[in-house]
Amino acid sequence: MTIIALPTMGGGGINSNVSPRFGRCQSFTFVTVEDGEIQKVKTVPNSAANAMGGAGIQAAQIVGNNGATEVICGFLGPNASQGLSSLNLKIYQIPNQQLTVKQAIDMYLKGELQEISQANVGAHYGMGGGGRGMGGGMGRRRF
Amino acid sequence: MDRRAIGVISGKGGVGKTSLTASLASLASKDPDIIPIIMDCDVDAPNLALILPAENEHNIDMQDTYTTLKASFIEEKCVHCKQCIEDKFCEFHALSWDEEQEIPIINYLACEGCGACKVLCPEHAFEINPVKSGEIISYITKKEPRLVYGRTELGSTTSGKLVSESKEYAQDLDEYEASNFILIDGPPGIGCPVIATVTGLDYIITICEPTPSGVHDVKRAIEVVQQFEIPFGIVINKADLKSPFQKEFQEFIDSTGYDVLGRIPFDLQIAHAMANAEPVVDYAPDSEASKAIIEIFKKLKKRLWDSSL
Amino acid sequence: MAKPPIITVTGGKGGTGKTLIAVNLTTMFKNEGKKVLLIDGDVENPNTNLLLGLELKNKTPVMFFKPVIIKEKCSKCGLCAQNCATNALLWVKDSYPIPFLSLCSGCKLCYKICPEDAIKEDKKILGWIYEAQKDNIDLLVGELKPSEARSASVVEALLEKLNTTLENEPEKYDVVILDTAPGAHCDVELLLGQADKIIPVTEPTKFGKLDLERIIQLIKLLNKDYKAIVNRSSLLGFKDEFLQELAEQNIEILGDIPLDDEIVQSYCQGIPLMDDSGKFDTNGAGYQAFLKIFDNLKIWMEDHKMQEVKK
Repeated sequence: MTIIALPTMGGGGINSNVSPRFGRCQSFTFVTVEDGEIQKVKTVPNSAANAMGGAGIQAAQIVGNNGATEVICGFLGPNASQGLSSLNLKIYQIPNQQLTVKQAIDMYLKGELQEISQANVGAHYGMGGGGRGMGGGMGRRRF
Repeated sequence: MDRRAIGVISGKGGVGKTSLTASLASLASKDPDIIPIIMDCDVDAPNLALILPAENEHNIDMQDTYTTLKASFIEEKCVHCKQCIEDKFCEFHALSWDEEQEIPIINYLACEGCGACKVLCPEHAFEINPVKSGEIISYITKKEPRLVYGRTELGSTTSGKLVSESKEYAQDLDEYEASNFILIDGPPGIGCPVIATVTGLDYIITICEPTPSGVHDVKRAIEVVQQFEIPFGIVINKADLKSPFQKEFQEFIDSTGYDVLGRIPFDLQIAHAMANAEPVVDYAPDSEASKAIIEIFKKLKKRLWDSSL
Repeated sequence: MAKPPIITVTGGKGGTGKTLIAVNLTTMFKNEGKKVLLIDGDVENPNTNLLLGLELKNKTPVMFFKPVIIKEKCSKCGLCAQNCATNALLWVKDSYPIPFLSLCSGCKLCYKICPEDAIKEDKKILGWIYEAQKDNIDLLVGELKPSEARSASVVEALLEKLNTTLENEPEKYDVVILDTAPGAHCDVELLLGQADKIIPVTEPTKFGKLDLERIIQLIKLLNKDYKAIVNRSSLLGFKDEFLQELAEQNIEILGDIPLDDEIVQSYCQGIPLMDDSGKFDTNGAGYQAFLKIFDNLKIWMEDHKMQEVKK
């Protein structure tokens, strides 16, 4: 059984659109998948959307706290990508087009999504003396 | 063509970011392949709007931002224990003690809104509230592309956040989907607002000058860019300046192997153009400076779209 | 014991000549036998040592708070993360919090509230402070480490050094001059906040004027006394117009400095124009302009002293 998190627009859900942004998306949709089928769908509003700073970190916490082990998303900002990586989550990127959660999950189940998790990143302690956002995030382009 | 977001930085101030950005913006708006959005992320002192004014003064969008947090004191709850001072609740020197009234005084400008005083005070005599941090201004310019820029409320201490918010604002515009070239005039320096500007960009132009501090300045700017692993190119302004540092500067640039996009000669037409609040490529299109900038623009296009980034 | 007057040279717009002016004011005070402390607060691009031709010494790191989780003591309660205003601690249930240093503001709240004392107050290098010395001039320079964001904290370290010196040896210096970065960011505010007198430097263009107006707004917020200098006043030939505009807005000036090749030469050679070594033409337009400005500055400072005496 796998729980997959997706950043979504509006209230989320199986037919909602996957959000192009992560840290400040409107909601998260958690899809439980087992034996190649969707077993359960849960939605959670994204409280990180109102964060003054570090929204990506807060969003990663929401994802982790809801038991997700994998993430399907569009673009990840530097904080979100570091946050998710530090939790050892598998991250899959959707292509540059509008997709519903259902469509994204179907692509995932067919193995059509590219995994973009950063290599060699465990639960390390931040980025030493580095500045914000090493590498500038992952996934489809937003700046 | 895929969308590219590029920023112009310089390390040291006054080296010609705004002047170059204005000219590149003008060239981009005339280029049939490019659909630009222009940004000014020098939120502490935005100037690009002077050269790229609104097409219609009555059609300017202004959005206040409230991402600065500041502490305030609730006198009724205070029991005058002075623990906030004795136990140094505030690491930013924003709390001092009023001996007469025996209450803490908050230095508004120094306060960073971290909330430590609110959490640590046993009587809950501090609260944290958002205050106006600045504005994001957006309009269609006379030259056609949209300009988006942020301007901080003085004393807000959150320039970096305003830069990030301005970028978000630009990406939420209807025009963003169709645009393929985001050109950003960056702030001077290498600190917080510059880091917020360069994060997530596809390419960076670093401007420098062959002056005594020139080698120094460009080294520092590039160190920041390299940390973010973003491809960059160098533009040398006042490139033919007669200075004893010319040789040292040139040797340094050559030794690094950095990509030099172009060299703009010292040209008073640039100053005249700026005085006229016009990009030099429009004010004096046949000047040496304009010719150099046109070549820089051509090279930039190649870097952005001919090679994969 | 009277503390020395503190003069902050600032400008808003980059490249107007703040550092050039700070260095030459310093030199003119030195020429009169005064002991001067010049502090370079443009920590993202410090250049004063180059204009003075001095080698920097005594490199001292400026340290900044860095939280480290002591796993053996941590109960994974998440209190630290829940109270972190900048989300610099990532915590999911039943796991150790993970610090994200680039987001850490240094408020130390996590360290202060941890019920298990499981957060160590470690430090990281944020930048450095250097010293230099020549004749009667002491130079203190701050530098932010590239890729770090908090320039204000390096400026704070410089000011701490200044204040310690003024506390322990108030008679050591006759005058203190602070050079700021461009802009109106919090690092500049700190240096303006310490000033007895502020000199914003501008240039005779729309851009110079816009940024000057902004910095004056900030100066007024801080309730400080200021008089501007118009540098490169002969650029483009509308100096009189520009000075007139400033006068109309009640912006007082100490003077203006025309373009002068000698100034460029002095910049390139690392010898201040006003240095009394006889290197530059004392009848030059730039030289004379600086002398006038210095006279006006001294009068301005006298007025200040008279006000103090009257009180």
